[in-house]
Amino acid sequence: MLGNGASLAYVIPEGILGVTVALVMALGSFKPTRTRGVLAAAGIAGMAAALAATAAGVSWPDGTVLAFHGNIVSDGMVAVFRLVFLLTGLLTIVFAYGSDEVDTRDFGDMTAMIAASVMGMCFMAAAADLLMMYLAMEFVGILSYVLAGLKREDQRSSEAALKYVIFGAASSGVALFGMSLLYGIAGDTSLAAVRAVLVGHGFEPLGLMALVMILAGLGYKMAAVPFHMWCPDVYQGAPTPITAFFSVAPKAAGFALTLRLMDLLLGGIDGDAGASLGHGLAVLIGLVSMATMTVGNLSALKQTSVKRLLAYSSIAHAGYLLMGVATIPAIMGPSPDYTGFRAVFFYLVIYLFMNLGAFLVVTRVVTRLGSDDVSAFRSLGRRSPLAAVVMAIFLFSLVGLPPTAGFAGKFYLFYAILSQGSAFFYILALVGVANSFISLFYYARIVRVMFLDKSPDTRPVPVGALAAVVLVILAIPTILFGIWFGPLVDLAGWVFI
Amino acid sequence: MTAELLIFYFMAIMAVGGAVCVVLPPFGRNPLHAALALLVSFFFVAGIFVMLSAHLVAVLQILVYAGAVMVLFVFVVMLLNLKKDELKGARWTPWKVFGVGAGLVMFTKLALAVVVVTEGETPVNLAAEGFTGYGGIHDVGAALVTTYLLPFELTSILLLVAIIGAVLVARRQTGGAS
Amino acid sequence: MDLTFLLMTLLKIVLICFVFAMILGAILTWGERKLSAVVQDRIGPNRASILGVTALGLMHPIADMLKAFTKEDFVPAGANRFLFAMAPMLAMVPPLVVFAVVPFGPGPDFVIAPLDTGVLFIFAIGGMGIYGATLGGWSSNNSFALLGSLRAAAQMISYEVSMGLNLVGIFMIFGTVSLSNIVLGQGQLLWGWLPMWGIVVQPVAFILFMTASMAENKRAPFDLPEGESEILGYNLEYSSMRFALFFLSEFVEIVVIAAMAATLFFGGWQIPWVDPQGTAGGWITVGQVAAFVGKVVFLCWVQLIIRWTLPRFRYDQVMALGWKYLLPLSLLNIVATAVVLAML
Repeated sequence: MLGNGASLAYVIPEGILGVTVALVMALGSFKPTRTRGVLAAAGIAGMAAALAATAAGVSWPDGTVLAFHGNIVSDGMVAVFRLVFLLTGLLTIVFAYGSDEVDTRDFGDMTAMIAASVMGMCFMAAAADLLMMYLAMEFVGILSYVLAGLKREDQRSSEAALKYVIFGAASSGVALFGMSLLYGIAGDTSLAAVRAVLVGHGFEPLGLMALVMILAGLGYKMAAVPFHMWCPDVYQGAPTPITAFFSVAPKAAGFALTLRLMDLLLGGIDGDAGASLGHGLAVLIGLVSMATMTVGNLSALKQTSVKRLLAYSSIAHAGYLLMGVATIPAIMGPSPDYTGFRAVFFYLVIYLFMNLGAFLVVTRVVTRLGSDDVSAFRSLGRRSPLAAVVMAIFLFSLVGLPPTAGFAGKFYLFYAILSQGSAFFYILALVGVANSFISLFYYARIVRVMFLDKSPDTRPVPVGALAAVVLVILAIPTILFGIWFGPLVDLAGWVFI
Repeated sequence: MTAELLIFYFMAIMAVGGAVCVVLPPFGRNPLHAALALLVSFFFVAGIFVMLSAHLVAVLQILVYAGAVMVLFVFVVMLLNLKKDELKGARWTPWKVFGVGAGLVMFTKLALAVVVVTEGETPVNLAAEGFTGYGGIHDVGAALVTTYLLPFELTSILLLVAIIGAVLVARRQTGGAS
Repeated sequence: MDLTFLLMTLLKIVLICFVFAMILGAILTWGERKLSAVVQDRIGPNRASILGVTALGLMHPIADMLKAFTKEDFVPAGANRFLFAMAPMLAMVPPLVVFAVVPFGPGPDFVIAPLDTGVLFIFAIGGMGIYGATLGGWSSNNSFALLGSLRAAAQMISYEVSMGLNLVGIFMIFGTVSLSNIVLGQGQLLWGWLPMWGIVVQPVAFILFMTASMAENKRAPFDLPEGESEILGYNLEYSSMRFALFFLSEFVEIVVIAAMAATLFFGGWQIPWVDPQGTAGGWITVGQVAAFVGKVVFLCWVQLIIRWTLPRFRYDQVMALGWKYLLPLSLLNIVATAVVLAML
């Protein structure tokens, strides 16, 4: 366990993000530098610096390091999740630069808050202490509430922010209560102490109830059923670049925290008490996963607003990801098998590319045509061929059709749960396949509308040079990782070596 | 039935009673009465903290919660100044009944779980050796700047960005993107 | 928890809170009027008399008291009766409770509760004082009173922040928040001859603290929430004894501020160079208690003089002063103190 001074070397990317926040706030204070370009450049430069540092191996230890007196863990998992968060933040700033939904006057504050939010997410992935967990969750949460309400004149945006706040406050309250119960039975806030108590004495039923309450709070972050009610309204009301950010980054952070919690509490333990706890949690998470997938996919079938449709689709994808989380029994015992957890990370990276790409197309359509209705996408194939083609690629990847990366992601997830062997997991996989099949209908509807429907408005929809470049940059991995997923599997191997 | 136990029961009943009065009619119907009931609850929780020898936390509870957070709530409620007819009447929807029922079930399960877990445990004797100054300002302050330094500093950054966010939300909107 | 301890504490509470604080508060009402007369070159109140004895107008507080008791007690129609009755009490109790930690003399005999978290306790209880003014205006069912109470609440919250930050310098220098220990610490001698009083080591903090405290007390020149002569304040629907409670609570708070400033900045019960540890008994202890009372009276007089010298500030000036000038200065004071302490 490292002290405060020696631990600083393990949080250098977060430090760079902190400097970015200060820099953007400083630049936003003076009139000459308060332009969209300067502020976006400062934000992107900061994120890119942190991204480069992480990719170069800064704060990326080979093993596991317990830092800051046991408050955070620094290992490969934190580093690879940092890459996900930083990339999302960077692309969000790029999206917001070209979108007219974010005021120039708010741009500096928005950039600063995205940078701070990413910093909070990095701490969510690294938290090893109940206090740190809650603090990181609230960090990301509070900033998300403000980001959701950025369009202050728009009633939908204020409604989105209000619903997010009320829901978030209630869920955080429940999670905190669970954490306080765990503290009560463990006597110390560190997760190592909680593990010793849970595994040593079992402490059922109180330990199980407390863990379920914490998972309820985390389920809200991941937009799992039945904690998903906020998701469609918030995604629809928030400015589209912010929705893109919400659909990937806080969700990924929620999954990172859940994986970290499961690993710190149940990873590699022996004994009956822990085993029964792990099996119980696996069944619970499996049931939540099935419900999430089903509700998300079925609700998306009837949507006419593309943003709302993508919101329900992201709920469904949270369901697929929860399948990977449900492989808790595999991580217990003397030789833990983290395939399921690694599959979650693998899918999250692919999900980043395809979801951000889809949202970028929606951003451009909203900016150019002013509406996110499905009817606005009519004959997009003729009016903006590049946008339509990449949108089709992203949507087919979201379904999970080969040869896109979405197929590789779903394949890895199904492989992880099928290798568990028990009947429950077979049923889970079956539900997953059925849901992927259902999702084809609503994704393909958009593709059909884009290419086969005629629109009365035949003006071309110019996407803009910057957006075109970014779309191509996002589309390439979506196809590439479907065929050549080796490097991504290697990257996923860093999750809980 | 020691004096300490009696005082604890008094404080606990007042704290829980205050919290219950926040949501139940007739207190809960008027927002200001609900806020003041919550204030009463906070005060008695601070009293329970004192009984647990957490003196600094007790003072901070009054300083921060009762003195700052609740003043803000009261301030906002007064600013809105809703008249009685503007506050809608209470309706019992099926979801509310289900919620109350689920809450009661949850409470019973938790209470039973706590009883089961703490059976046979003896409470810590805070008057014993090694507990002097426990929960006092020196012990807690030392822990805050050594063991819990990272959460402490992160909280300060969180407060900063929260203030920035609050100003952002409250600021008036101007024209579109340039 | 034995009986003698309980009885001694009760005696101390009666003596300190009711005999000292409230009587001094009542005398200050007389003092204010006489002082204003001296400042404005007139005689002031000198008519009230008992059996022909006027005693420089000292009978006037008694006359005021009789007036307050006999006036009609009026509750406006539509007012929230419970809160209307509670608000004056909520305003009166916090200043009295604060006296629990103020040391009047050396040792644990002269303080009701020598808390380890002394000054934090004072801030916590002082923060409760906001509710009195706020609820008083709201419960009167009067728009003007409501606006007055909102002004009061906003002003008190703003200056509470600065008041707390000003004292951080003192905490850093003496290394403790306990008032008794701060007084003991002020017995030390700088360079062998200068007693290390708060005002010697933190002069800027003293001025800032007095300013912030007078604003917290809604005392002129910051008395716009009451707005006695100009605009309507939060206590406009109150009459007789309820109004007297609000009025008296303000004067007791003057004594509180004087007691705090005396303890933190003027050495408390310390007589310079005489018995800095407070261990000598007998007449020296009596002298130390007298010294404390004298310092408190002096600081009360300072506050009264300031009131009658300066004109009232406008509300936006008050808020600007609190947030744009006092707060940055308080923070600068902390930084400067830290730098000086690090260099020594």
